[in-house]
Amino acid sequence: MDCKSCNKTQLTPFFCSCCNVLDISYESSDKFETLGLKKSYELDKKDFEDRYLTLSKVTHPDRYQDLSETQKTKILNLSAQINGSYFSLKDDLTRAQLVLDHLISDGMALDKKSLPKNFLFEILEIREEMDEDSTDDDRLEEIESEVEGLRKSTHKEIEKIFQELTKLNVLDTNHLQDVQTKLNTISYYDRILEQIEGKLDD
Amino acid sequence: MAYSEKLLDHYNNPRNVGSMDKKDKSVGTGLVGAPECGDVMKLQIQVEDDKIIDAKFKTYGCGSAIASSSLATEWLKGKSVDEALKIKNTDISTELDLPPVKIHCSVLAEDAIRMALDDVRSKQDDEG
Repeated sequence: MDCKSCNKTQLTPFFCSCCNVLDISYESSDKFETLGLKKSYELDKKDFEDRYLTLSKVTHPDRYQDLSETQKTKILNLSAQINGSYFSLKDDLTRAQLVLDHLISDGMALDKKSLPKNFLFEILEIREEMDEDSTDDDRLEEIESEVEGLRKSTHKEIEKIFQELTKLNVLDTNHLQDVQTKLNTISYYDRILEQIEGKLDD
Repeated sequence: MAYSEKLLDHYNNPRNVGSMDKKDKSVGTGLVGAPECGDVMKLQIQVEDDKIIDAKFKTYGCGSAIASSSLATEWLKGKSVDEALKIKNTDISTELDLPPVKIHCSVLAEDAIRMALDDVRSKQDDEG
């Protein structure tokens, strides 16, 4: 998007860093767009942090003390929107899911609930073992590190698929379905880790 | 958030907790998960002469998920397979007065019932 006053590409749809013009009424549920990023898993970490810093500064409520209450609220909303986008996109797995969500809403047919074969049986077995009386803290810690390992390798696999897709420069449905299937496993691992934490704290 | 008394009762005294042998030809197993929260629900039924003579569940999840599956097993016992197919998630959520954010727990229970029924049917079809 080009700036109306200087014709240069704006940093985001609501801010031109060149002439410092800010549209405080900007509202979007698109987290990529809010930060002026293209909808992709790949992220230039430095650029990403720089954007966040710049946008946080220009929307900082302290700079707008003299505005009307309505305008102050707008600034506050915009600033919250920037924060929300930043923290969602910073997380690799959330960003991956957001990319897929955009593709799905653009019409790509992905099954959002798919899981690897036998996955739930494996999860059930782990949950059952966690609840057995014979499972002591040492065993719980073993399970914890096993599940952490599974989560980490899933994360790596997802990253690898995205790298491959970038290299091929295609949006292949099979690959992306594979990503979705892997992403769907994460909440089960997280839940187990959360439960183990709770049990070990008791 | 206030939960209904029926829900709390099922949560505090869950009915029919346990497991059956999933290889048994008369046993149907439904195993479902909620990707939103990582909950897992296993529901099993034992069917003889088209009648559900026993039902068991094991749910690792929130109180609403436990209550939904506990209630489901209670309702399933004694029903015919066709009657069981008629149980809807809305019946469960109404009975337990589930808050809107927990409706998916009753959907999970319905999915588990269907899967268990499908499983036992396909096993019995194989037998001929």
